[in-house]
Order: sequence, then C-alpha cells, then structure tokens
Amino acid sequence: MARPQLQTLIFEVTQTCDHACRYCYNYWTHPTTSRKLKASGKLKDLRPLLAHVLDQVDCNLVTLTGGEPTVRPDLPEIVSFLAERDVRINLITNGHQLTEGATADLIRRGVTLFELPLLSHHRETHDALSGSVGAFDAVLAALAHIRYHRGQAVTVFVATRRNIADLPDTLKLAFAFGARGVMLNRFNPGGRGASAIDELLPSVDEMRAALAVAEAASQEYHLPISCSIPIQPCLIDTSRYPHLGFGFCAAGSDRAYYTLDTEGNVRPCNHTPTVLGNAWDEPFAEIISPARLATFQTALPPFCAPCTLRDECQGGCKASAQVCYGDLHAEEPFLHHNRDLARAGAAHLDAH
Amino acid sequence: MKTNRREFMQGVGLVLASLLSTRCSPRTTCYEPIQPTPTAPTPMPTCYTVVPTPSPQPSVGQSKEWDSLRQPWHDLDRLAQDAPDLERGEKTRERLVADHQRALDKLVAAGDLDPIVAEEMQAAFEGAAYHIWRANAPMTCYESVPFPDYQVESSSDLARQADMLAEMAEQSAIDEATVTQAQAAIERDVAFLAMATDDQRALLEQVHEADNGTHDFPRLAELDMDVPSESVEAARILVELLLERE
Repeated sequence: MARPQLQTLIFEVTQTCDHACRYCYNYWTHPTTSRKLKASGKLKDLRPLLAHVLDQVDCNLVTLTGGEPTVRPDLPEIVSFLAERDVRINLITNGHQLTEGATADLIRRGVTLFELPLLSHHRETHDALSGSVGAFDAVLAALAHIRYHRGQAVTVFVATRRNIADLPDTLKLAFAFGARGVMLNRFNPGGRGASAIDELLPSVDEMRAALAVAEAASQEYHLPISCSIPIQPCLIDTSRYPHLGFGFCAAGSDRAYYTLDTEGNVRPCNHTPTVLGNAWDEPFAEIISPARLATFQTALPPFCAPCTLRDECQGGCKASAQVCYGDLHAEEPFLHHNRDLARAGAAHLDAH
Repeated sequence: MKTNRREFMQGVGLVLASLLSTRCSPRTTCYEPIQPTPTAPTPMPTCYTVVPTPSPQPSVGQSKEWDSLRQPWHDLDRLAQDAPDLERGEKTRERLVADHQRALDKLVAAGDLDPIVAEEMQAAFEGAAYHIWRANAPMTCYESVPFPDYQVESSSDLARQADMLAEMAEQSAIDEATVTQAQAAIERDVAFLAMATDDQRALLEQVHEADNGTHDFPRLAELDMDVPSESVEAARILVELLLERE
C-alpha cells in the first residue's frame, strides 16, 4: 500500500481546556456526541504515538490542538520532538498560558505558527465568547510576545451574531499586533456551540457584510484573510471577494487534515466524532483508505442533490450536521436556517 | 486616488498578470491553471481590464534579451500551478522574480533600458507574482498562512501598524505593558529594515509622508496621473512587451 502523503496532521494533545468558548466545536463538549478519553493520573508520553504515525506517512506539518494544548506541561517536549523530525509545527491555542517565557521557549523549540482567537476589539465581547475573564488581555499579550520574539501568528475571528459587527476594528487590531493573516470563520456549530445556534449563527446578510469588510481590509492592510469554514455558493457568491481565500470540505482529498487523538484514534477532520480507525491497531494507510472514508466523504443532504456544485460544495460542513442533528446527510445549520435563500441562490446558479 | 510609486507599479503588475490570464471563471480563482490551448488565446478583458495606448517608441520585444524579460510573465501560469505546494510555489516565485531581475539587468547593461524604469518594472513583476502566488497558495485552517514579503513593502505596513496600534490601544484600553511590547517589536523591525538598505530607509520615510490611509491597488483606469514619469514609462513598456507576444 502506498505511503500516504499528508499536507498536515492535526494532533489533539488533550481534551482539557481552560476556556469555555460559546462557539466551541470540539465534539466532546457536546452532550450527545461526547466521548471522553481515558484520563489517567499520570501524563502519558505522546511521542511514541507521534513517532508511530509519522513513521508511516509523509507529513511535514503537524498542528497541535486540543482542548487547549498549552495546559499540557510536556508541550515543549512534544514541540522539540517534532522539530527534531524536521516537521513544521502549528499551535492552535487561546493564548492564556502563553507567558513571555513560555512563548519564547516554544518559538525557540520550533513552533512555526501560532493560531490565536481574536474575537473582538471589545474586551467584554471577547471574554464572553471565550467563557473566560481575562481572555482578551491574555491573547493580546500573547500576540505581543510572539511578535517581539519573532514568531508568526495568525488570528481567528469566529463570526457570530454577537461579534460580527466588531470585525472592522478587530481586523485593525490583528494588523496592529502583527498578525500574518486572519482566518475569518463563520460560526460552525458543533460541540458546545450546537446549543447556541439561535444565539450565535449569523445571518447570510451579516456574513455578506463581514466578507465585504474583510475584502477591503485584506487590500488595505495587505493581510491575507481566508475563510476556512465552507460557505455555500447558493447562499453567498464568494467570487465577489477575490482577495479572500475560500475552501470546501477537504475530507478524503489530498488536502485532508486527518485528526489524531491521544489514544491513537484517527478521524477525517477535527470537527467530526467519526473514528476511521486506531493508529495502534492498523496501518495508517488502511485507516484512511477510500473504502473507509466513503461514508463520510460521499454524505450529501438530499436538498443539495440537484445542485450542479454539489460535488465541490458538499453542502457545507457535514461534521456540523452530524454533531448538531445526528446525521451526516442532514443540512448543516447555516444551510438549514437559510433554505429559502439557498433555493433561490441555487436557481440563480443554474441560470448562470 | 493617491498612491505611492511602488504601489502603483504593483497595481500595474497585477493588471498585466490579469491581462495574461484569460482564465477567470466565477467558480475558481483568477489564476487557476487550465490545460494550455494549442494557440495563444485572444486577449479578453478579465477581472482587471487594461486598454493600452499604442506607442511608437521604444521598440521592444525584438531581441533575445526582451524575450528573456517576457518569459517570466508567461511563466506566471507555472507559478499558479506550483503555488498550491507551499514550498514549490515559494521557490518558483523566487526564481521568476530573479529571472525577471536578471533580464532587466541585461537590458540596462546593453543601454536598452533606463535603470530607474527597470526598477519600476521589477516592482510591477514582484506585485504580479505575489498576487498570483497568494491567490493560489493553499490557505486553509491548518496550514501555515503565507505572509506578505518581508521586503520593502513591509516598511509601509510597519508604519501603519504603529499608527493602528496607537489607535487601537486607546480604543480598546489595551494593557500598557502589552502595547509597549508590541510597539517595541514594531520599532525594532522598522530599525532592522531601515538598516538593510538605503532604499528601504528612504521608502519608509516616503510612506510616512505619503500614506493617506488607503492601500488599495488601483485599477489602471482609476490611477491618479500624478505618477512619476519613470513609473508610467515602465508600465507602458511592460504592456507593450507583453502584448507583442499576444
């Protein structure tokens, strides 16, 4: 069997988090899809698992995430281990534990890119969405530390109904703190966020306005901005925003970001609870074989079946549909809540 | 619309790259590669429209050296193809920029091109190459998000960052120690850039003077005509050079 080539591997180094984000997509924070991993008193050394997986694949980028990865006291050793294997390291963190010393140490050990949430220029809004007092000050301090110690950071703006109006000034803030790029992700319900759909899901008009703001800011600040969470073309014509990056679900493609947890479970992406197999039990190539992925990869809402763009768009984020409605074939919330608009948009697409 | 010289030339480069790319479609990026057609396609207006004014002089495109200059522009397709692989894309971009510079150097050495005009043309090509690379580089959730060149243009960004930091520090009541550290980082980077070359230092000063708060790439038709004559000349030569093959 051919040696898999992965653009990136997501490694969830812990399920523990020191924040309680309202929009959290981690499936284990959802009441019905929760699958808590075994917690032992002793911190498990994750390096053997990483070595076992990396020995089987070609992958030069590992993204460390959680939970909150910085709550692990051995995170620096994990980073060094990966750097010694000549692997680039992205760290997704809320920044709360990133003191100046810790930040400098992680950069020195080899963290290539920090990915931090910046949800508003208002302290109260950022803290409320993060479920943590002090989160705003902590993330700005972390950005300053990273910049000062010559690290690289991108910020993530999760666009929700509560903060979407703050996008212009939040982009200014990201730029002022030297962010190398911004991810503008629409709220993608899953995990804890699934219970906050009515409160947080932005409308299509709100997203359009946010994209227009981002389009202008990308040019004004020379700031790459990408929208990682799929936006259905029947809802929003993304070609109107040529300076922004857009993507669709990459599961199963050569851009897939397979996700590994501390027990060795492998999933198609970090939004889904679907486990394809366990890296300790089977070869990685077998786990991600097309046959194993088929159910996840081919899932499509019946609503989308007539659409000419169905293969590309795939209805949006099927993992979100899976967590929120218990069915990979369901319409994910952004589509479900905007069916009428989607129907009209699809007709328009057909006409053109 | 006011714009500084380098931004003008980057905008010109972007326009020219669009001129070369007749591949725009609503569902893909402007520069998504497609299979080459057997014959050169008829130039069509794309996202960016340019209507070059014919000019009798100088005569360009008549020698091997001019071909060498033209080639990197036509190889932008290759850059679009390579960009999805971050490493390969970076290498291709660096190579094309170097090839373009090398071709310009030869033309300057031969007396076919004024050095100042050549510098402007290089800025145009760098702008075009960056745009195409940026438009095609994979930037999803979990890949390194490529960042703008840490070259001369960053000095203008640094200047803006300093202004923006002061503004946002007040607006968001940011912790003083955090602002101080962020400010120190900016100042150090500015100092670093300023020390790198005399040109960079001069540019930074210009940016401070010229920055009017907008950094949009202008369309050619929108350009304020208060543009340095060397820039206009460089743009004209590039348009002529590239249209000749078309």
